[in-house]
Amino acid sequence: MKKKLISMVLVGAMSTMMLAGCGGKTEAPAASAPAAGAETAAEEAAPAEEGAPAAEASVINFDEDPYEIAITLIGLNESNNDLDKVEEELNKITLEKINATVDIQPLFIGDMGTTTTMGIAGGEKMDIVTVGLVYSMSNAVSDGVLLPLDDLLAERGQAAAAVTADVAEAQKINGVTYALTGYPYSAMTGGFAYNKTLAEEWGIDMHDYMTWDELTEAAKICKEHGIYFTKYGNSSQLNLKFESGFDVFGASGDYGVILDPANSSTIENVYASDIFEKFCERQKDWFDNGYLPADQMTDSTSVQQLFANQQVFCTSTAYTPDQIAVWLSPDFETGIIKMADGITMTGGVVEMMLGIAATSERPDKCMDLLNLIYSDRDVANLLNYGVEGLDYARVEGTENVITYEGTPNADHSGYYTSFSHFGDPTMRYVLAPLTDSYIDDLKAFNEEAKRSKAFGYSFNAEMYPTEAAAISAVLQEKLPMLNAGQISDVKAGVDDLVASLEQAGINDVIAGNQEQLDAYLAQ
Amino acid sequence: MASEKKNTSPTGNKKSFGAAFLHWLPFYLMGAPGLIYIFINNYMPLAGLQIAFKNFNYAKGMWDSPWIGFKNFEFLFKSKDAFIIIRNTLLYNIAWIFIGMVIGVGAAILLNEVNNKIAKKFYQTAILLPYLMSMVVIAYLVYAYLSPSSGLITKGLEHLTGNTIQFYQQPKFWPFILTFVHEWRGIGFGMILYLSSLLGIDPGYYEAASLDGATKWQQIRLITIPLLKPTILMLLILNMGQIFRSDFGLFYQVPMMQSPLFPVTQTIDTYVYRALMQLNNVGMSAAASFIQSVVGFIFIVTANKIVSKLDENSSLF
Repeated sequence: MKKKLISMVLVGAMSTMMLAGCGGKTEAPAASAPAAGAETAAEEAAPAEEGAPAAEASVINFDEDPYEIAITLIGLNESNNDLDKVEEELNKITLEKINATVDIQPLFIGDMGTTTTMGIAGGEKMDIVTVGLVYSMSNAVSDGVLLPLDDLLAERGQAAAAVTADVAEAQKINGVTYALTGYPYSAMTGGFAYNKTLAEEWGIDMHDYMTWDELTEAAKICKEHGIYFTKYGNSSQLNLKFESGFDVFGASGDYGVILDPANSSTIENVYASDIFEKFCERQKDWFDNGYLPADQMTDSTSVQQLFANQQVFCTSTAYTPDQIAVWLSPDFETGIIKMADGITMTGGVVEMMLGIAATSERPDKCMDLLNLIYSDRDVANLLNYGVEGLDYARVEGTENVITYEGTPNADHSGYYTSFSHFGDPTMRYVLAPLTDSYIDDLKAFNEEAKRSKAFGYSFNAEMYPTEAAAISAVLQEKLPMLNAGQISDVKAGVDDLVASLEQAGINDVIAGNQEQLDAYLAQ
Repeated sequence: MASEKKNTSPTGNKKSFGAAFLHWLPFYLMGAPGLIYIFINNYMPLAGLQIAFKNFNYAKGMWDSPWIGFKNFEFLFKSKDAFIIIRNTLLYNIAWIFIGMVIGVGAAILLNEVNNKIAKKFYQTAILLPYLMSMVVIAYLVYAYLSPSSGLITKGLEHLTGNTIQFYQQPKFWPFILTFVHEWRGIGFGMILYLSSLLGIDPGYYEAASLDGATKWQQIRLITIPLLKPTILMLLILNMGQIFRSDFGLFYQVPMMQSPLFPVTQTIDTYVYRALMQLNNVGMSAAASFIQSVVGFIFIVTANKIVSKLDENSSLF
């Protein structure tokens, strides 16, 4: 009797399992169905356009029901209370111009990868997705998340293509465009943000391209006045990159670094280079002399916080014409210097991008909206800053400058994104404390900037997951002590790091990277 | 159900089955939510084990991703420190299983001797409290004692000896610190099962023993411990299943992620986290927990075998 019962329970269990199995299996075709539908939709739309491809009005079909385009907005779980109003204002424009409505979907930056991939796999409604930040375009492409854009761009994305033309190479993988950058002006370099008020008071001369000796001299003066020079903390980043114009592959040069990207295309292991060892020696010198906080490894106060509290004098930072805004404080004047020439690299372009989900029902509509984002000032401003008067206010006496201060959005509760960037930055408003000159500065900086020899190339690390994991683990174990200068024997520490990295396979990865780069450059 | 009953009614044998089934039906119904839960939670995900052997691709899904053999497992052994990581995981676990057992049984016996009801409840709650704390909070409690600039112990020792001990840079202290923190946090929970077994022991044994003049110590040694033996062995076997896993919060948060301490604080879980944090590789994470489960399974079966050789009644299966 018992056996029968057990068998009945088992039969029940197995049938549940079969049902569950069915559920799992049917999901895959369900997910791919919209994609197929989308393709046919695009095909259907195509013949209609052939007659007059140039005229925008004829491309857009105003006879159908407006399609709702979902677009992600990357943030830190802000409340975005004014989302509906922003959408309402957007829809007024989009309904008129592209016969579509917009559904802004806020997304926590840490969830970008999982939410996007699970959404695609689960067949959820996804249209315009954000890649870059913590979920790179190359990962998204290998995950099958993104739709190729070239045909759509040629057909109905001329404005978007024009704005991003200068950096178009970096938007491609194997010659196919998959996403459009939020940083069409992407030149950057490394530098230091410093406390200008204190520098003037103490007679510290901070200027562009300072040598390390000059920095050490400045650090000494800070020490005499009783504050620390800077703080690196318990960091497993390649901090050296913030004082240089390196072209870095992987988060911390995991896949190699081009040390002089404007003149060379040789990828090497930065950790085995002389400059890295010298950097570590300098760090040790700084720590031993008391220029860095004694408890920097365990104290979790961020360098931003210490800088704002005037407990450290300066901090290494990425340098771009708007970077100073990050370090401003009401208590003192901030200055920023660059340590190397500006350089345009793939990494800057792919930092944040918009692409079209492979499962979008109407890729054509998505491209219409993308095109509008790059060509319509109002759409770009709405998506970046929210509704004028509600989320931001114009600064009087300026042409382009806006501020959140004095609006209900001063606490970023109305509409805010610090990660998403929509459209052409030279067309949008400029957020105070930047001034009207920002747009010219940005253009000038980018014109002056050199171009990395490897521009347009991104490394496909897919073949090296094992090495990548091992390298990442090694860096997290061995790098923080060297960065902080808290190690008795720098040479031994660096040798140990390099030996561990080589054991983890960094040389194979770099060789593979070089091979891919050479093949790319040969094209 | 009704039709089945009608169909089966003619034959006596089946009728009694039906009757028995009806008799037990309420119990099965009562058990159903739990069984369904276990089925959904513990058995259905077994299909996902295949991810460990696949180059998982979200767009293709679990079933259609390509097989890649054991490639996902390689990163675990690619590190120069693979041996240290595995050694740490195993040694901490083995040590803690036995230390936890001794302290748990001891605490349960002591608590059982407390007669004042209010005092007993108070002690039990106080001992259990740390178990409910988040590891991040515990990490900062430890930091309050050991911080190089303001730690209570650091400063105290500095006054006594004149030397500042950099706890967060010297691995030699951490096996003891971690063991202490682990036991301090876990003892309240670890002794609950022992305490409940103790409450189940017939007081008659103790009365008889004390009438015969047995001391407290003799009572504990000759009555309590032998009667606790099945519980002790059961928990021992169950703990063996966790031998290749580690308390991630304890090893990651409490040493404040200090890399000089990695030789004694890096375990399989923290290594996997650190290696895959940036890669987001599902296949490799699945491989790591697959290997943990397999090793745990082997240890459970082996421990059970040994126990059943020693004392057949105490083995689990």
